[in-house]
Order: sequence, then C-alpha cells, then structure tokens
Amino acid sequence: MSAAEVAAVPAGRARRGPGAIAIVATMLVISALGAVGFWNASELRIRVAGMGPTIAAGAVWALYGAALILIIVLLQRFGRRPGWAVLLGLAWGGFACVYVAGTANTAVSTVADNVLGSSDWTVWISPTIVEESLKALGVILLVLIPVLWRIGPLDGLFLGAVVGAGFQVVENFSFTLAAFSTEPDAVQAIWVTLFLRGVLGVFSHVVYSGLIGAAIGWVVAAGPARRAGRVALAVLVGLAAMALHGWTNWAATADLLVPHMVVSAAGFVVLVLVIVRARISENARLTAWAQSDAAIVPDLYRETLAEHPRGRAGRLQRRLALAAVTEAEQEQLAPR
Amino acid sequence: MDMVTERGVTSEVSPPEVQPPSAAWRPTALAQWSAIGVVVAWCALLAFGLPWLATATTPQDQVVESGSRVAAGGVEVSPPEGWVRDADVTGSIKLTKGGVNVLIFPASESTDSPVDIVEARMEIFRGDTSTAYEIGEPRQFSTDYGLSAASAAVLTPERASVLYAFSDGARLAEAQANASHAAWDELGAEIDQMMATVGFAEGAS
Repeated sequence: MSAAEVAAVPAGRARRGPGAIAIVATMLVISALGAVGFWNASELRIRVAGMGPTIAAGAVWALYGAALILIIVLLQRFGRRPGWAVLLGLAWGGFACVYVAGTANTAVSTVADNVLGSSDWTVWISPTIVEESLKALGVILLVLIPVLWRIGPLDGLFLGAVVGAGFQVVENFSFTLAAFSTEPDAVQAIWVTLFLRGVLGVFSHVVYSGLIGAAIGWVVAAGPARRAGRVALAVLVGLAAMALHGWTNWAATADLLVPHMVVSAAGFVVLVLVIVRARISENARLTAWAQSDAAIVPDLYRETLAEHPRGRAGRLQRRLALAAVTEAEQEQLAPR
Repeated sequence: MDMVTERGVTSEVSPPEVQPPSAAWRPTALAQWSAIGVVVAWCALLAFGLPWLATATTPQDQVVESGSRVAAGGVEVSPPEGWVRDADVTGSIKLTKGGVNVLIFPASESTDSPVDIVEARMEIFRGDTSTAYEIGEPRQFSTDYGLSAASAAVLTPERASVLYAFSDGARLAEAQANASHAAWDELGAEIDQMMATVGFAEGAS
C-alpha cells in the first residue's frame, strides 16, 4: 500500500464490514455463554461465602486488573484505544477464555486419569496450550475487526495485555471463591490468594498474552509481502510464552516459590523490553516518515492528535508532525 | 525521475516509496470469516469435544461375569452372577445387586487377627447409644484362598450390615455389606458365598 493510499484512510477510523460485525457478535456470544457458565459454576461458592466476601474479592481483583492495564497504558506510546474494544477484550479473556479453558482443562485431567492413570502432569501442559491459544485467538479477532486502522507490535501487545488481564482477574476471583471454602477468615483468604496468585504470579497472564499479542501485531505490521515470514517467528514467540506459562505452573505446583517469582518477574521484564524496543522502532520510523513525505503528514498529524500520545514520545511525534506540515495546512487543521 | 547510473546510462526510476509507520490495516473478509470459523471450531472442541472424550473414556459400571476375579487394592473376589461393579470407586471394590452393596477395602500390612479386628469394630457400635443396634457375635471362617476370616452382623430396625475381616498372617483386609432386611434375606447367601472367595493378589501388599 502506498503512502498516498494510507493517507486516504480516514484518521482514527477503521473500515468495518459484515465480517467485523460477525467477529464482534461471535466474541459477545461466546463471552456471554462463558459468563453464564462461570456463574453456574460459582453460584454455590458465592452463596456459601456470602455477598460481602464475594464483593470484597471482586473489588480486590478488579483493582488489580485496573492496575495492570494502567501500567501497560503508561508504558506505551499510544493513549487512545476504543473503550468498547477494551471491554470486548476483557470479556473475552475473563469469561470466554476462563470458562472454555476451565472446562477443557478439567476434561484433559479426566482423560489423563482414565487413560494413563495419572493427571498431575496435566496442570503444567493443558492450561498452557488451552489458555494461551484461546487468548491469542481473542487478540487475532480484535485485530481483524479491526479495532485500530493501523496495527503494530505495541497495539497487539496492548490487546493481548487486555485479554490477559481479563483472564487473570476472573480466574483469580474464582480461586479466591474456592479459598473461602477452606479458609473461614475471608480477609485471610483474599490476602493469601492475592499473594499467591497476584504477587508470586505477577502479571502472569498479562505477560504471556502481551508477548503473543506483540508478535501478532508485528506480523500484521509487516504488510502482505513479509507477513508469511514473520508468522513462523510469531509462532516461536507463542511457544516461548507457553513454555513460560508451563514452567511457572510447574514451579507453583512444586512449591518452588522463589524460582516461580523470579521467572514470572523475568517474563515481565521481557515484556517491558519489548515495549521499549517497539517504541524506539516506531519513533524511528515515524520520524523518517514525517521528514520524508510531507504530503501525507496532515493525516499523520490528525492521527497523532487523535491518539493523544503521552510523555516524551508523544511530544516528539507532535513536534515532528507539526514541523512537517506547512503553515497553510496547520491553519487548515487547527482545532476550531 | 531520471537517474544516471555508474555507467552513464540514463534511466527512469521511481522515487523510493517511504513506508508509513505501519501500513493501514484492512483485513480481508476471507481472513475475518476464516478466523471466526477457527475460533468457533476450537472453542467447540475444547468446551464440548474434550468433555465428551472424558465421558467416553470413563469406565462404566459393568455386570461382573460369573466366576471372574475382581481385584483392587491388593484384594480379589469372585462375585456370583448378576453383581455390578461400581466404576467410580477405584482402589477398593464396590459391588451392588438388588439394593445390597458390598465394599471391600484395600489390604494393609497387619498381623492382627480377623476376630480382633471385627471385635474392635463392634465396640464402636456398642459405644454408640444413640441408635438401638442389635450386634451379633463374631463368626470365624476360612476362604477358598486360605485366608482366615471373621464376620459380625450389626442390625438396625431398617438395615442390616455385616462387617468382615480377612488375614493371611501378614496382610489384612476388611469388607462391609449393607442391605435392607428384605434384600438381605434374598441375597445373604450370595454374599456369604462371595466372601468365601476373597483372596489377596499375588505380590500385593
């Protein structure tokens, strides 16, 4: 696609057709079915625990999820994301993925017991494959809607992080409900779960899905010609994220708390490094683009303003965009 | 644009196309519908296919063939015709027929005599004054597989239970049969016949 064609695309708005509507409908329906399934599975636990502890646990994990997303947003170049897409990603991760994965993981464990006589080992294989594949498919669907009209590694990372945050919040909430049945002190149950699932498994699902999402965004950003080549590498990234997930699951079940925490933290560091690297790369390309093709800068300018970039990177982009447009164009584009 | 090459040949070339930070993303309808198909198929496989497989591989209750040996927990027994083995119970043997259920628990290492074990169990019932138990005296017998055994009945107005213990001097196993009085009257002889076939599996402890 030429730069002129790119410039012709309305800033900030993606073209969506029946396929996009079908994707949204598919995600909503599966998420709704997952929510019903989750409620059916949790209703008895909620009744036993009582509404007070349930609401407290829900609030704690909602805050945890909000903090996760806030960190990811602050680390990124962009500020503008469609709210409905964020909610759709959270619903997919929280309800569709948690319920379908929970059902599948239980079934795999049963099959292993029936066929092999043992299922202990499935806890670090089955969730890894099932959960990561479901979350990755959610990111792919969001990308294909398309949520944004330009997709890069950071966009994919953000969408992956959102889906992962939804998954982590709802899954941890269900673990807390389960803890209520064995720990009569609700506050103690929440703290223990928060420590085991929130602190030791710091950002776990956000990290796994964020990395896979970044790989997906990287594939999409390549353009049709180079996309096929990047798919193989993206698959490797996905396998690496699965391996990270599997290792932390194994360490958790083996009570290897320190290695569990160290590897989880290492995963988060990798995620931050990916963000930093992607920011540098995007800024470099943006700079080169803005300096070399003034004809399409007004669209860049509109896009940049529309996305409300944050921090130094955002200011740089605004300056570059403004420097490249003519005075007449600035006059024409200035907000009124 | 005209460009002079190193050999002095003038040719027309296009200016280098500057790629935007990321090209506008326009997924094709084929990609969208394909993705929907993959997602729906994968979710269906995980949410319905795997649970179906789990059910299909779960052992179902089966009528035990008369004369065959049923084993679990290091204990074997030959039920008479028509007894059904409960597939949900693993590690022990649970057999049912006509409202009677028989549980044979795993063997353990013990030199206690069967009579002492049965007496100890009876003491528990004697100490429970909340229910009017009618407690029988221990009866000793031997099984077809050379085990020394003992049994004692505990009756309530509604039900009959018989406790069993089996020993080969080094290993001990216990069993329990529960039934309504009517069912016991009908199947008591079969239960006695079954208990006479209890043996320990070779190599089991």
